[in-house]
Parts: sequence; structure tokens; C-alpha cells
Amino acid sequence: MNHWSLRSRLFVLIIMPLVLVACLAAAARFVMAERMSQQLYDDTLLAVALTISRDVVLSDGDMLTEQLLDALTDALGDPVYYRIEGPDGRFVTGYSDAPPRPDSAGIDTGIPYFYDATSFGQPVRVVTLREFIAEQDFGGWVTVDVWQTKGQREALSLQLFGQSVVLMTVVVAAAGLLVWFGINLGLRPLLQLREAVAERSAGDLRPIKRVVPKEVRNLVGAVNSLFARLTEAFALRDAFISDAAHQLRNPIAAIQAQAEAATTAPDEAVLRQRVAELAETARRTGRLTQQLLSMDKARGRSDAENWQTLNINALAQELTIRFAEQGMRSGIEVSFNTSGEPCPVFGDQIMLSEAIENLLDNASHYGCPNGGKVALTVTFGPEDVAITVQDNGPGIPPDMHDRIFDRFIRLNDDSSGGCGLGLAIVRKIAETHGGTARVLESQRGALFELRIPLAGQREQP
Amino acid sequence: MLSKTCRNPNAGKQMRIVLVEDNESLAQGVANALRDQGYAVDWLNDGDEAYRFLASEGGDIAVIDINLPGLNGVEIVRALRKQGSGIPIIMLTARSDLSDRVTGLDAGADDYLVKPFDMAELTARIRALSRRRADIQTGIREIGLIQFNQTARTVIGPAGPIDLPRRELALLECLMDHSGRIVSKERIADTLYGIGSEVEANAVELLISRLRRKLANTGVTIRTARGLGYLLDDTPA
Repeated sequence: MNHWSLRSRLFVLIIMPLVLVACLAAAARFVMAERMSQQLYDDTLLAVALTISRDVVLSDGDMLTEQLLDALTDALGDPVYYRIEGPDGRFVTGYSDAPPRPDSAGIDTGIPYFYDATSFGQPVRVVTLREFIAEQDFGGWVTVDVWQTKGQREALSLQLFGQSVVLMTVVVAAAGLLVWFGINLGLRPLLQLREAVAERSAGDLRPIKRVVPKEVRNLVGAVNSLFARLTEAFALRDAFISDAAHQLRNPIAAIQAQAEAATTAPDEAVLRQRVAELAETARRTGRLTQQLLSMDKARGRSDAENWQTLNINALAQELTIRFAEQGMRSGIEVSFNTSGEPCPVFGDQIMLSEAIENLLDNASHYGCPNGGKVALTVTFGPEDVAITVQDNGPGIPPDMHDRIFDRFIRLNDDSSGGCGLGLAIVRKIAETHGGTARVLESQRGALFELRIPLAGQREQP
Repeated sequence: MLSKTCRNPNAGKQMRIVLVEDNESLAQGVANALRDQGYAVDWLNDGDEAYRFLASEGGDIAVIDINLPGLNGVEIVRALRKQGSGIPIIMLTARSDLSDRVTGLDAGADDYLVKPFDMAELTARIRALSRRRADIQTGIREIGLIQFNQTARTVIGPAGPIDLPRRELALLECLMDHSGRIVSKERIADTLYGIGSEVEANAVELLISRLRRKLANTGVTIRTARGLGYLLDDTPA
């Protein structure tokens, strides 16, 4: 029922119980009315029975006069029939085809007994009396049965039922109409809010300031806080896009210049050299776009959907193997070492791979000018795991140890064509995982450390 | 860039490479570089078309991009393998998403490269795959300047036959099986001595150093990655 409109929900929730109550009320009213009409008709029937029995006594056991019966039928609306039995069950007078008495009928003196029966295929109401008659011929206790067809009664019941149904339908319909208008009126602030939000342009992320009912104040608060975060994210993204465009402009201009220079090369040897330079610039540009993408991915990926418990030791080993398979061709010596008890970490595998790959790439680009050594060590501590990557290049001057992690920062004598994003990505990923990335003091080359808390050491994001 | 040409055992017959890539300038560059290396290149830029072509006409090696109009690269590989095609396949992927690569390999691809890649890397992978294919046909495997006859169990170097004891021969074979890839010490021990057997810690190291000495000046080097394993490399130094 969650997909229903609020209006329908409210309407159904209010009207359904109302209809139920109305049905119950109609039923109760009908039962009570019928009981009352039964009582009235029974009283009349009893009066008729008493009249008949007196009349029979007065007329010495003769049949009732036709006039009297007609008069009774006219007055009551339904024909009346009777039968009188003597003390020994002998038929005295009246109609011989009396409806059968129920077996359980206990007929006591002076107390009229009412029951329903069928006579000539028609439902009838019967009253049975015992009366003492002091008469010579049939004196003693006589039994008087008087019965009447139920046409009038049933007509009355039907009428009462019809009345209560009509009454309740009118009540429910009126209530439904009122509730519908009431709901629409009550929901008007929500509709106005909806229209106000719908009218906004895509770039308008100012907080919603209109006065709203208490119930939606929290919702509007949450939306406003989302707007604030979106504004911040958009600002970051805009800054990033402008940075990225700026960073891409230079190498692309270089590619253009080099390509144009190639077309005007005086001989084939120069042409080959210029095209080789062009290829190198293109390669660097490719790497830059790759890094820009990774940076973007690292920033956007703090959501938990890709997070899992993972074997960081196996991941680091796998990545080092892949790195070694490439690097060893160009003469780089690669080594891998694990110390401590390997434990899992909780994180995003793609992001952590990216961070480790960046450290390795960094080592091979800057630390191994012409075939060097790259050593990756995984050290498990009680709370976190430290992944260090050591090269034997020129190292990082101490004053750059922190700044080197900033975006687009490169060492002054950097001629390797790096884009200055790799380490920024590493730090961003470390922070997203609740860890750190830094440069450690080292006797030879550069030593980078990536620390990630072990699974269970940190609240899941 | 490597200046090595394709070493094709079916001498005289040019090797056909089917390149499936929808980025025209990339495809043009790759196709030109491969033609310069002596390969014939069929270039297709649509997934459905590529599948029909590969399924009917074939080719010797396929290089397939993952993102394609029509069937994507992984779907092409899966469909080809399903109908029993054994053509060696290298996947190209723009994303450095590990799971994508794994999907390609799971579907039956033999190797993958992440864009942007060096042409030298692509030709090295193509050489390795074509060699593997030729090896299966002839029983003679070549790497660097040596020939390994799998049926006769002999190794011939540039200066004549190289005499290798049984275990060193098995070690060389194991490294050749994963040429260009790092093979861990544990894996070597499992292959040589049986899985789970008790081997002295330096037994493999000893064998490696002996084999390395015998392979000197054959164009093949065994490189050590400490803590990871060994790699058989035929890249000219």
C-alpha cells in the first residue's frame, strides 16, 4: 500500500472503518426493529386468540362468525385462522388443518406459547393457549391455536431494513465527501511544497525556507541538508573539472605542436624522432586521464555498496606480481614480503588496488630511473596493516614529505612526465578507509607507507 | 618498441589477426603497428558483425575490445567458446576494473590488456599466444633462442643441445607454461615434487640457479622476484 497516494491512504483508512461501523449499526438497528415489530404483532395475535376463545365460549362452542373473522382480517391485514381442541384432544371447532406444533412445545396453563410454522406452504405465526372453560358439553381444559400468515410482518421487516440501509448509505456518503474535502484541504501545504520544489531550476540548491506543517519539517530539513551537501559536491566537482581541463590542455597542446612539427620534418630520421616524442607525450596524456578518472572515482566512492572484507595481503601480492611481470622486463628488481599475522581489512577492493598500484607505479617512474629496486612490504600490526613501498631512486626531500600528497604537486627536478595526481589519489583513498598515507624517513630512495585499519577496528561507513 | 618480427612456425603463411575495436583512431594505430610486424589484420568495429566473422571465417588470433556496439567483447568471447571455437583471444579494456578483466577471462579469453597500453606489450602477448598455439600443433616450443621438443624431451640452444636432468627439464617446462608470468616457488615445488610434498626450503632455489647457469646466452633469462617467484623472460636486454 506504500505506492498509494497519501490522499488515497488517508481516505481508505478513514472510510473503511466508517463503512464497517455503519454496516454494524444498520444490522443492529434492523435486528432491534424486527424484534419490536414481532412483539407488537405477537401481542395483537394474543389479543385475537383471547377474543376467539371468549367468543367460542359465549357462542357455546360454535364457529366464529364470518363477519368477525373478516373484520379481524381487515383490521390486521393478514387472515386469521383458529382451532379449538377439547380436554381429550378432541377437535371442537375451527379449522382442522392446524400447523403442527413443535415437539418441544410445553404448553402451560395461562402462558401463551408463540412459534413459527408453515401452513399450506405459507409461513405463519402461531399462538397456542390453554384455557379452562366451564361448559357442560366440552368443559374443562381446552387448547386454542390461532395462526396468521406473516405477509404484513415481513413487509414491515423489509421496510425497516430498507430504511436503515438507505440511512447508513447517506451517512457514509456524506462522511466520505467531507473526509475527501478535508484531506485535500489538510494536504494543501504538501502540494504547495511540491509545486515549489518542482518549479525550481536544476541549479537552484538554496534551502527551502517556506513555513511547513510540523510533520514535514523533518523531511524538509533532510532535503535541505542534502541540498547543502550537493552544493558542496558540485562546487568540488566544478573545481576538479576546471583543474582537469587545465591539466589536460598542456599535454594536448604539446601533442598538437609535436604532430605539426612531424609533418614538417626535413628527413626520415628527424621524422621518426619527432613521432617518437609525440608517442611519449600521448602516453603521458593517457596516464594523466587515467589518474584523473581514478581521482574522481576515489572521491565518489565513499559509499558502502562496494565495501567488503578482503584479504589485503593477497591483494597486495597479486598487484605486486602484476607490477613485477611488467617491470622486470625493463630490468626492475621487485620483491615482496609479509610480516605479522595476515588479517583482513574492510574496504573497497578497486580503490585499495588503485592506491597500491599508484605507489608501485610511482616507485617505478620516479624511483627507478634506469632499472632499480622496488620492495613492497605488508606488515600487520594489532590494529592496522602498513603497506610500504621502497625504491632506490633519489628520494624525497624532507620539506616535500607532506606537500607531495597534494594535487598536481611535483618535485622541481621531475622530468618523468608524471601528472602529480597519483599520490593525491593514494592519500584520498587512505582517508576514505580511515587510514593514512605518508612518506617515511629512509636511508636510500623514497619510502611510502599506506596504513589501513584492520576489519573490525573501524566503524563501517 | 620491440623490433622482433612474428616467429611463425608455418613459414610463409601470414598470421591473421582479427581486431575488434570501435574507436577508429586507436584501431587504425594498432592495425598499422601490427601490419608493420608482418601480421595480416582484419578490422571490425561492431560486436554482432565481429561475432559472425569470427564464428564463420575465424583468423589466427582475436584482439577484442570489451565495450562495443552490438554484442560486447565478453559476450562475443562467451558465444565463440560456447560454439567450440578455440581461437586465442586477447581482451582490451578501458576500465582498470579488476572484475571486468576477470569477466573476460572467465568467459574464455586467454589474456587481457588495459588501455592505454604499449604496442610492445600487445605484440608480446600476441607472440606468446601464437607460440602457445604453434607449440600445441608441433610439440616443439620455442622461446628466445632455444627449442624445447616436448615429445623427445630435449632442449636445443644456439650452441647445440643443452643437457638438462629430468627435474631441470620439468622446471623449464613449468616456467615455459607460464612464460611472461611469475610462477611462485610453491607452485614450482608442487609441479616438480607433487602437491603437498615435503621439500627442502632451498631445493627450488638450487634448481633455479643451476638452470639459470645452463640457459646463459640463449636469449632467455630466469628473473627472480623475491617473495613472489620466478619469471621466464625472453625480452632482449
